[in-house]
Amino acid sequence: MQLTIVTIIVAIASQSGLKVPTISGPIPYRLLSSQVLRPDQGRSYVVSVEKPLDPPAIKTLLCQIVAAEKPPNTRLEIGVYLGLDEFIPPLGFKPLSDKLAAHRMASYQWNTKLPNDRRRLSVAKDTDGKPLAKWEYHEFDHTKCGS
Amino acid sequence: MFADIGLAVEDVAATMNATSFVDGTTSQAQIGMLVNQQYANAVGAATVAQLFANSPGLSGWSPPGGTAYLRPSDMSNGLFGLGTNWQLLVHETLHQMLGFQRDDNWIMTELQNKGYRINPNSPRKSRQISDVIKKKCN
Repeated sequence: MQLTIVTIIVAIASQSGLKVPTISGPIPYRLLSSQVLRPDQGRSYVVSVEKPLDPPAIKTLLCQIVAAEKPPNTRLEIGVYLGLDEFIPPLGFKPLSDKLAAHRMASYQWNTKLPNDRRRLSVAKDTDGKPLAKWEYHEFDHTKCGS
Repeated sequence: MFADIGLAVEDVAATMNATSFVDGTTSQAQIGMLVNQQYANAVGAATVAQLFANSPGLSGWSPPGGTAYLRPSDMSNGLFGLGTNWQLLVHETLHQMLGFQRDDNWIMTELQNKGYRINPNSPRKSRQISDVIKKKCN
């Protein structure tokens, strides 16, 4: 398993209770979780930002994360949360699930075996940070970042 | 429906074959080791058996890692309870494949937003996911 320096810092910080550092760039963010997925060694990332983002800014952020983490080209999940202080897996525990849902701003899913998916990026909050009645879906393909 | 949550059906089948399904009500596996100590503290249970004992409505619990924990009394359905609740096995397999952040709430909301008849606030809760699996995969 390949681990980046950032991933190692996240793992140490989450175990020790330290605040995860902000990663600078066009859109500053904190990487709260990095997980290897079964069965294809894909990756799942949880990041938090301090301000609401519009879809173009979310796409910029996704490209930043991909550039920093370099996930394998199998499967990718990135959850973007607004003002989330820490990530505790909910795993069926309602208070944790509700907290996560309340902070969810956008979600990106990509699977190399599903090349025709046109709804990979879902947006759950508006640009004021208020929850949308229904998620908005946008086309996006992180493999084309920078092109 | 699997594609709607970003999964390929062949991967679901392969993962299901590779997952161990065990009795959660008697498992002494440590939750702090399976997930982390923050989660164990939040749910107030040290072992999987304690988690099931504290959560009467919990049919299955599936932290990614290769083992899914089930409540045996919820494993039968159909006429006179003679059928196997296979949709629950598939449901728990999905959790083996999705990241920690993609819990039942996320799956239900995603499917609802993509046109499935699911209401995350329904009393049937996450059993609706198993209902969709049963309907779509039969």
